[in-house]
Amino acid sequence: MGFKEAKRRLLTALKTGVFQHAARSGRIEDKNLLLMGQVTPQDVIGIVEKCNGTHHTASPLHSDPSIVVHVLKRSGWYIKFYVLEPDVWFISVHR
Amino acid sequence: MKLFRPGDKSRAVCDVDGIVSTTFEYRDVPFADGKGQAKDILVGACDKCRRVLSIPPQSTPAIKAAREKADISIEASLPAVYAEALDLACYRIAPGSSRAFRKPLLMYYVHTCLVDKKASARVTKIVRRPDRFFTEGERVGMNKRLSLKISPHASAEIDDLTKRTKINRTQLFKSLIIKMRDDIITPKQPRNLRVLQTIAATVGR
Repeated sequence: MGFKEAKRRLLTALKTGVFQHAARSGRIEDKNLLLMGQVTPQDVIGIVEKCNGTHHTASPLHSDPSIVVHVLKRSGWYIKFYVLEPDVWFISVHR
Repeated sequence: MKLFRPGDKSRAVCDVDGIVSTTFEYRDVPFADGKGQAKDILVGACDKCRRVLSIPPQSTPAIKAAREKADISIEASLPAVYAEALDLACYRIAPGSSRAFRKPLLMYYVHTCLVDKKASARVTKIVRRPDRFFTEGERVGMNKRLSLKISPHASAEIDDLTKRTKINRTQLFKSLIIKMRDDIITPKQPRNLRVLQTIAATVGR
């Protein structure tokens, strides 16, 4: 999955509210400000919409290399997520 | 939006077991930074090792509340004339309200000034031009303590406003109370009365 498809899936997830947050090590990741309620899906949509391919990198998920982890860096924001059908999974949303 | 219930199934990536099926259930989950935990939030647990793997968006309000539970105490020693003006403003809006309305009313003014640059500019202006009525009231020399327990979010808003207006917390409270006098106590009809009465009815009792 390239940048355009990843961005499309991410925006759809944020707009519909169909996503989950990864709980790494069984804990609430306080650096995930979307999970913590410190930013809203609408705030994240605003950041993602400004992203183009130059703001995107991708790498395999450490615990399962068949899954691609996408990172968007824009305006000081760092958004890390992957798609595990049928949901988008947030690892981190912070600045 | 997708609403999960206890017993619902999904799937997730487990560090131990790879891609697994999960079952939603209520758990107490600690924060990664070690500062407390969110109790009884809905999570997705690994069907093989039972570890918590996922948290759905519907758990965010409970997580936010758990994080903000650690209230911060703020204290300010105000000349009595300011404390009484604050109480009178509360009384004018909701005569049946208790002192519990002090905090929501102050935070309403803090928040309004934060989102409205014109309002925060007016607060700065009040500090630069001392109000004669209050200045003379201060000369009496009697102080009253204002003690509030507020959430970290509310505390951050106060800090943001002190930075923006470049005044300290006590000066900020004094300026906001002078603004309350102008908005609520002096006019024939207090400004934003309906909104403030609704706030008082909801959280000021």
